[in-house]
Amino acid sequence: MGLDPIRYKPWNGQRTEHAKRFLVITDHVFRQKLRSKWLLGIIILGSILVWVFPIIIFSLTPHDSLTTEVMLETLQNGLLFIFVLIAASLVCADLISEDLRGNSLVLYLYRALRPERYLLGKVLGALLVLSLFTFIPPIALGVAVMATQTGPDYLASMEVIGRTIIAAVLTTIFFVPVGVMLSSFTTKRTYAAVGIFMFFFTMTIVAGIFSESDINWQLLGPGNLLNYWYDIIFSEPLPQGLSLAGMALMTFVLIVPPVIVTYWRILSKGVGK
Amino acid sequence: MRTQLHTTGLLTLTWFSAKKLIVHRRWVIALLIAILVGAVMGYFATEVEEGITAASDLLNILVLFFFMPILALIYGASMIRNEIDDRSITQVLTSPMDRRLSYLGYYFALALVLALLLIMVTTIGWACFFAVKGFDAAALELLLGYLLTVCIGALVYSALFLVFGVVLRHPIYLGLFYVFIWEDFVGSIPGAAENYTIRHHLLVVASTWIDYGDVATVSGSAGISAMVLFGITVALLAIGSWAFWNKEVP
Amino acid sequence: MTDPVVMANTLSKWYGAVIGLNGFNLEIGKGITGIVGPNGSGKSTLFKLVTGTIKPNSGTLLVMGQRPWKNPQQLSKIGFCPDYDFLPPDLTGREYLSFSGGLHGMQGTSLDSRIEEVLAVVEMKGAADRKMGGYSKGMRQRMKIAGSLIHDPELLLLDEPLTGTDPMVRREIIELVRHLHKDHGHDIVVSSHVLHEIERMTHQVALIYKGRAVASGDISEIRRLMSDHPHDIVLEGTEMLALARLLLDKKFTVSLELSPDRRTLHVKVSQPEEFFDEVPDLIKESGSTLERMESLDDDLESVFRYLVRW
Repeated sequence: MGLDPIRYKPWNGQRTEHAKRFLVITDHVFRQKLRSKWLLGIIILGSILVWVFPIIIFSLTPHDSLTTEVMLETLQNGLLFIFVLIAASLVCADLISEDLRGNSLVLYLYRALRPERYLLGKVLGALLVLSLFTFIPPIALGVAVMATQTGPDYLASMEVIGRTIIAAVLTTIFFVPVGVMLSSFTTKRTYAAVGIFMFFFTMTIVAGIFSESDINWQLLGPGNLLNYWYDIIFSEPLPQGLSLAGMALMTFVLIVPPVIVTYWRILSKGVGK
Repeated sequence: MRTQLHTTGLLTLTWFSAKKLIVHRRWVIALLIAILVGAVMGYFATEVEEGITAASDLLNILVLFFFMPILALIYGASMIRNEIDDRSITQVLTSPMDRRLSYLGYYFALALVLALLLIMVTTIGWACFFAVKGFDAAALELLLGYLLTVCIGALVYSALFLVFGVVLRHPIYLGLFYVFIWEDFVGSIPGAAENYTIRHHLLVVASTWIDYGDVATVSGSAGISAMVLFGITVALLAIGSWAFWNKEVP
Repeated sequence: MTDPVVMANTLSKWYGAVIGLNGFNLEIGKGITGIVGPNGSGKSTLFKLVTGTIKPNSGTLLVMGQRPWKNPQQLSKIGFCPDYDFLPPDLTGREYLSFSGGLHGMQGTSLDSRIEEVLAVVEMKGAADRKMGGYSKGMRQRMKIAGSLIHDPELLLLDEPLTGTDPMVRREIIELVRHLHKDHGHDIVVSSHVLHEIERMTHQVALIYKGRAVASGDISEIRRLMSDHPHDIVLEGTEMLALARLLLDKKFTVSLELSPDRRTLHVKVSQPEEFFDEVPDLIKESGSTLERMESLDDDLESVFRYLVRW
């Protein structure tokens, strides 16, 4: 008989453009992550340890303006690296792995949603969540110090805030590609989380082992790499012998190939299944 | 009759759980780690002048400091938890074995497999280093010292992470916190804080039979540290088996 | 009278805000007993309580005279086949049975011969050396049953053994259940939400709904007890109108409905025993010829629907 002409009512509401549908995924990821007690706990604990104390201390200490030293001291804190790493592991671990485990990847791609948009939605969601720890607090620190400065040079302070924004964006983006890639290799999010952690820590340890013979080995360590980028952003001198090309190459390796590999994984697991 | 039942049950559970741990794809992780350790140590051997001290320090950093607790975490925290999640633990829970004994069966399997994997990683790293520097009696002594240390470490860390798997729904996160924040960060604070880490006591005990590198300079009473490690292991096993005994598995 | 195999007295179990069993009362005797209820009614909760994998929040539960929680010794007498799939895909069937048997303290040649016996009972000898990851649904069900039989338990608990199987396999498993009781002497408690399949296995049932036992016993007995619910009987033949006139005078007749072709008569009666006693005489008196007579709601589904007001 086909469709029941009395009961079936076609939907006449407004449909979103195809190009914007990835935002639904982004929104879903963001809301879902914010319901995770562990993640919220890490963000709050990390914010208190890494950002709140410096905000209080630097705001209360008499100062003329916001200086790059203030931001560098906080950004290059080892604790920031650890908390960003934990947060990135928690955020990225189940991004793709849960969809693989529940076979819902295929369901996503059955819709009017291309694999690259699916990936974009997931990555954007992860970045948004991470920015709660890596983007908003450093800006808040800069603004708080600027708001309590005694000197008149607000322009210089705003310049530092501008550099801080760039550094914060880099910090937010830095860990996500590898995290998403490792999440696409397993159906168990706990293995993905451990894998993300291990990946970055192993690189740090290997960097530490070989850096005595050549300083450029330090670039293997993601924490060191980030710190050197902060030095460049805030116009601080780099250690002698450090290769800028090496820095660019390592950064490229940590960001671009993982995204390509993730895309390939999504295609192989989801398309044509 | 009950003794025979429990003995056979314990051996069966240990054997099958150990086989499951090894046959599962996670052995790939251990192999990759072994290759990495071998590559790093082999390359490092070509870059440094000193031999045995550097080898000891590398094994300390790579194995004792990092890969031993990580492997224990990966295998241990998920061992019972995975079986609860995928419900394959039903067979164990509905057997007439006392659950406390079943827990020990899991522990023996985990400790055995972990020790074997760590022996593999340590030996490959050691072999790659001394293949460049040349093997001698001191190198062999160093290997034996580290093998004994990783075996003890396997026993203690297995007890720790197995408990996490029973008590927590997501044991990996607390495990990561313990390894990277508690042992790494808190343990490196000068003073008495390091006494509250397993690694410190392991190093103190290891300093009695490893004579090279930073391990040899770790101060402390080996007897007390050995007792602490033993006590921690027994306490964790008692807590874990009690938790498993009382655990409802819907 | 023999002691009940399972006895639950105001048994309650809840998971946070979700109630699994609620003041549950039931006695299960020897033989095959069917536990019937829709999804979420508490069947699996009951089985988990009986096997001691969870503990009751209140009330008492005795299995073969003992409490099951923290009583692993009792599990040597119980074989459990859960509704979910837990078979390790990397093991062969034989290895799995070896594992199950080992957990029950069996070893050596006695375990090997018992494995062969059990494989023969569930008809899985041919596939025993294949990895279970490649088994079909029916094969997995058989292997789960085999695992629950390996230690020759007195009581077998089968939680929805027919779910997800095709009709052929379902028939085979029903036969197997009957065979296990009749020829091997196991007491069996089997649960299902498919009522007519339980009826094919046993007439002893317990009906569960929303965590409560709404009725238990023989299906017909339960039906007979529902005296305020008239029985619906259909008669088919010739001269049904004359028969209907005679039935109208009887006090057990609640209502009558004659089909337009006057060949089918639906009668609701309040006392089915009196009706069945008198109907031969009424047929003779009316001169009608009876071709078919059927009690429409003497089955489990109607009983259940009535009891839970579906």
